[in-house]
Amino acid sequence: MNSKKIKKPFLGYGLGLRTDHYEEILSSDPPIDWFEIISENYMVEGGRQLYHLDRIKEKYPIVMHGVSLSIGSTDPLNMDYLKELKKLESRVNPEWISDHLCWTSLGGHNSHDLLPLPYNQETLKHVSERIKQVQDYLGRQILIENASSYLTYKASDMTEWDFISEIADEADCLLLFDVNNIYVSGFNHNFDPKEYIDRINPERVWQIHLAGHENNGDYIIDTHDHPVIDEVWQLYQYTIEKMGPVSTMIERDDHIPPLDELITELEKARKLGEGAC
Amino acid sequence: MLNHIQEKFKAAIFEGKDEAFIAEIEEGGKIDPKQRLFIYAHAYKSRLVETLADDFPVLHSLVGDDMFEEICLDYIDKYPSTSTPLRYFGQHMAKYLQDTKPYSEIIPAIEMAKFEWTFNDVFDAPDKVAVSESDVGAVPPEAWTTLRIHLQPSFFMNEYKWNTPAVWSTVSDEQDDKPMMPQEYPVASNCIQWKADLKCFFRSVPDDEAAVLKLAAQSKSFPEICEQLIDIYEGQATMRAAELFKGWVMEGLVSRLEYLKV
Repeated sequence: MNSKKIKKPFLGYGLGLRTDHYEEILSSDPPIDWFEIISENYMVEGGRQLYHLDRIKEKYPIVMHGVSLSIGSTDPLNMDYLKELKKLESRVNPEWISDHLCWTSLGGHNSHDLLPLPYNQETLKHVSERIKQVQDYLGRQILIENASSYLTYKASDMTEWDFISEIADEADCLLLFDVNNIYVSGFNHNFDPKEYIDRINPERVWQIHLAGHENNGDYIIDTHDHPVIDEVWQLYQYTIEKMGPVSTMIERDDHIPPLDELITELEKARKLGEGAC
Repeated sequence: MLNHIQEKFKAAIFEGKDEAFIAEIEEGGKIDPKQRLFIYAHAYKSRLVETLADDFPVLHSLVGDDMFEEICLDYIDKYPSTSTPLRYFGQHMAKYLQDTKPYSEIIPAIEMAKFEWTFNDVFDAPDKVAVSESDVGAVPPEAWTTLRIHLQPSFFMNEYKWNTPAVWSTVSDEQDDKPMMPQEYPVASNCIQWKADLKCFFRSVPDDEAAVLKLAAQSKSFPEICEQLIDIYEGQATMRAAELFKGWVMEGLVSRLEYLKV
């Protein structure tokens, strides 16, 4: 795919769209700039999810975020999944589409987890090629997100930040920068998150994720079931001071609080963003 | 190389064959490679168990925590997920229970798995605007001989030998202090499930209605539906067919009327 250089759009401050909040969003038009949907949740023929999405997309910009592209798998690309993704894309008309730098399935079996990749030239070539194929199929650049991880491979000979940067250049894709994941992986693998942030090309970063996690003392699990912690807010501030305004959202996947609570948390991102830029 | 690593990782989390993969993990840090792998292996199983618990809450309640966990863990081994959306993972549960001892002997559990999974299919089926009474009124009298009734895509009918739908209803209703106990029917009964205005419904249907609903689901014509009822209702067959049809319309079960314009 030959991509034209598009000026990085700034959508403002968004939230992950969750079923608990459908009615309130439609009835009260809350001050949220945009929503991110989990693409797989809407790959159905009908029902409450699609009904509400169709109405919410009339009021708010939507971005699509997938968990099943399995871009790093050595299985062939799942064309059935890509067809469903394209079908949803034409229904939603999203601002952009993203998925994770990971693998999820092998031999046709799905782990439904974001499994880590070894960071080396073989993987880099493999993943870049597949991102190009996906972008060709969809006819647009996609955003790739850094996933949190709990192990590193002996087969890795690159840092994660060099790996993801080189993939972005090689595949000419964009990045979804998850600041919490960088904090989690930094803790689990003992690296400095600021070094990671410093090494990323801001032009590639079109979206930021913020989320909470579970600290087990010796390791951190990326659970998305708590508010964002102070250290991650500080890293967010550091990131936007380096990168300028980036569309930012809070991800909450479990222990979903009332919408007001998330909006209050989102206001913190807005305040930091407006202060830094 | 990448493929070999992924094969070993998969064997470790899907089958518990972890030695080969542990050798691929860098040592160092506060936890060892085995603990690092355990985080993934544990997340894999707990995510799938949680999904099954969400899909089969009444089955869970019927068999209790211990048996439900045993069922889930064995199901995960026997039916590793092959679908991309997680929502299809539990689709083989009724078949699994039917094929696996000792669960194959617990008919209420098998039936409950079928009943609960059918609601998943109902929920995600395409939504079509239901035919209204005025749509029926607009059918010219002469067109009734060619009329075909199309049911909603969310319409499902299954046969139950036990009082499974009633048990589901009382267990699901948290206000009911004493849920109904599973009981075998003297004769098997049909239950239909469907949705209207985004809400899911179910009800038991008498045998004559079940027979004609099968015909309607096969897009048979209204005269063929009446003919099915003749053995029971003789001269009143058309009236009974009209009565059933009116009920389906009021319940939002009908999505389209097809007839030749004379």
